[in-house]
Amino acid sequence: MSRTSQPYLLALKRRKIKNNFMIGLIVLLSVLAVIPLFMVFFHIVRNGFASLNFDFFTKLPAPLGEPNGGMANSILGSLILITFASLIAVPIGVLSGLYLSEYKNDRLASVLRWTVDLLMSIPSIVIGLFIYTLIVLPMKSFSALAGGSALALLMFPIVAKTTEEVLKLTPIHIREAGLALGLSRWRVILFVVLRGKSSAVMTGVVLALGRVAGETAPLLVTAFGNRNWPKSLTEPTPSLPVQIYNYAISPYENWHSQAWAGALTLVTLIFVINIVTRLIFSKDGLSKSHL
Amino acid sequence: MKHQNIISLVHLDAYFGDKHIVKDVSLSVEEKSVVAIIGPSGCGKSTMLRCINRLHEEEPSAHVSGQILLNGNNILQNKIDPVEIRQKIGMVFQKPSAFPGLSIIENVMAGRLLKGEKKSNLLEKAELALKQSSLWDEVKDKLNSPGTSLSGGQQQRLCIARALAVDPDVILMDEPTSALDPISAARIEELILQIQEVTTVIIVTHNLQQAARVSNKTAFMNAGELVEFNSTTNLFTCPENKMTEAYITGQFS
Amino acid sequence: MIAVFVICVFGFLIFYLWDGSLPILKIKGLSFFFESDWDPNSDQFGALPFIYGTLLTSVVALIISAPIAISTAIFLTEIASKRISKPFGFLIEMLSTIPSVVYGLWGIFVLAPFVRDYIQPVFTNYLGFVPFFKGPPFGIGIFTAGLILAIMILPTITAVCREVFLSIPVSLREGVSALGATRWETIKTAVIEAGFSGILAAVALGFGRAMGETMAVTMLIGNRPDITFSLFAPGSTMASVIANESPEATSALHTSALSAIGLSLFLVSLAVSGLSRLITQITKHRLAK
Repeated sequence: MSRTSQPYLLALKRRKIKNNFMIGLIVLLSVLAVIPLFMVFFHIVRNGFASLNFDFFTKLPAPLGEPNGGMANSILGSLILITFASLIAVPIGVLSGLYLSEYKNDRLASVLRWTVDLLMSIPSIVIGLFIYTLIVLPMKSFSALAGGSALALLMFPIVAKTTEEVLKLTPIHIREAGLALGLSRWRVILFVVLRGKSSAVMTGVVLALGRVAGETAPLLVTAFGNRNWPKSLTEPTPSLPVQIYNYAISPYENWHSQAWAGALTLVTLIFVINIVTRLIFSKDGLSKSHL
Repeated sequence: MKHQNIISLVHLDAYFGDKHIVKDVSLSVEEKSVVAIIGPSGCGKSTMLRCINRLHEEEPSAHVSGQILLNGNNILQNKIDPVEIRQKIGMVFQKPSAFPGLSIIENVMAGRLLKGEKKSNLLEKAELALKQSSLWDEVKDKLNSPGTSLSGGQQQRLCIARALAVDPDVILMDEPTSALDPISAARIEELILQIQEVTTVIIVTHNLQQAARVSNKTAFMNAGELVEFNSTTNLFTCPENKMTEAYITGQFS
Repeated sequence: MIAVFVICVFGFLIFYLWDGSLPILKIKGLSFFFESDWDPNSDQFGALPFIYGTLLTSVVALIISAPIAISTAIFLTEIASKRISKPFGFLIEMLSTIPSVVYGLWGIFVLAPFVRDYIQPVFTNYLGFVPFFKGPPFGIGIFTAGLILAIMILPTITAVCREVFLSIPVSLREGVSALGATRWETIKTAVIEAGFSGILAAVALGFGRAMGETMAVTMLIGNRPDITFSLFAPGSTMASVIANESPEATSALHTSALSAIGLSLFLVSLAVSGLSRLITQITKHRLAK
């Protein structure tokens, strides 16, 4: 076909139409992708704001049928669970990440890395089930201990992976400079490598926190829930996501609006964590890059 | 008895796996002198340097035979911990390696600070080291700023100060100025001549003029072998070996 | 030393799940996975309804989500300018940080009514003769659960596709363009076909995640351990039954059955994500050549 023949020009026109159609379709679908985000956000803000008041953050759930009351105990419970989980997951995770970045070729390291990857892909409910059979059943009770452990298991792989990634960014000549100074290997790892990337490691930890703050399923079967203040680590403990769930599936209007308020709180918290850490981390990455 | 030769390499061979990188090198370095090691790329000079503070052991497939004597003691013996050796033999690398996360003054003190010694005990020594590295005046007002906030040339002087602060017998330098601009490089060269008074320097460089400027003696290596080792003046003006002559006249690099 | 500890814990996990599952499996053997009676009160345990529910919701999610996700990835890497793609990509990422339970909440009060009032009637009116599209007009059921899953796995599929597309060398696109192809034709050849296995990997990954999702699904699926061949009927998934029934398990056998479901869920999601990672590795290898 010559460049100006009729069939060629006709085919070209058809191709152009198809092109515009397909590109238009792609753009349309892409816009469709962010619509849910806006919708969810919109509804959370609108409905949540309505029931968000001081009481929400300070009061216990009101007895059935009575208006008001709050989710103060759930917020506290979540804090307790997350703190407990962090105390376990962060040291073990950071040390594991350190180990993985330093001894990358060891057999043991490969097995560990494989384990961490596996742990990352387990559905959270299965982790919850595991802790249920491990801790809840023998103890014959739901507890913050069980809930915190489940969350720790979820946090650990994230912390380990991000720590490993971040530490691997330390250039070899910095490590060697540490060794050349007469520092033993573990000192180099802890005081030179880790110290150099401490804010990046912290970012990884905080991101893991954000991920775990919204976990509900595992807590349903480990910490369960409680309409009172959490008093000890060995009794059922309330948490924000679980409370949202319980209220959402209940038949009471009042509880529904509280659930929205809870959702607003939770989502705001997670958003803030994510945005802030992304800002810090990118600044950190930039400032280190001129080395 | 004072050993005139602070470092002696005795029939040193180094292998990476099957590759024979350093072939039967023997040489001695006098106390408080500057020895330059020159040679074309890949001749094994950096490898040889890294054997001296046993940094070659970072590479799992590396192994050496022969002896390296520090003040008469063979430091290649297995029973000697490399960590101890490195307190007597310091090293400055090609890329300026200030420790991120530590301030300028902490960087200088790092050799002892990171072993648990108190910062207050180390301040005096750190100041001295910075003065010896001609860096004191430039940083005395910002000792607590991050070590990485310094320019490349300043960082390199920081690394030299850091090495000096632990009172080493020898400082090894692996192409310390090749990542720097000419002015910073010149300052480092001045510095080398100055610190000769307190320590011995062994410097690997591919810059012939630099070797000629800073060293008392020069060793020329090629393909793993020590071709010639002589006073710098002699080596550059009347080399004994044809290969040396060819190299310094630029016939190959 | 820590490595050993971690591996031990993990080993424990597998062991416990396996051990917990044993009782039920001993009694019923593999038929456990193929029977559909689930009545804890009379010790009847057949896992098929849940497997069916998990698979169906995940497939629905995939069918809805994949085209949109792939389009979005194409949009972000090929069509949008830097000024648009950065915030756009950021928004999609933010989607992935919303907790499952919040999606469930939104699903119950916004999505389900929407499906009930706008989508289901369409199906009933035009395709109602097909039993697959019949169903009680609750808004809760397999379809809605699949829909929310689609929203939830969208960021995952988009992100992986993006990575795949970005790793295709620019020269390929330029080469096709230079031959006189239109924008779409370039995309079709240089991006979609070249990155096809990567797209598969992304989709597989999304599928795996959909299978493991618990909360949003539980809140929108109706939790009926039945198999109904209708898109709009209530159902139940492996994850949701574990979440719902574990706290109130009536007997050791019941718990064991749930453990068996948990173990199989774990194994299946493992297989799927392993598969997708394998595909990604192979793609990267091939492109590097």
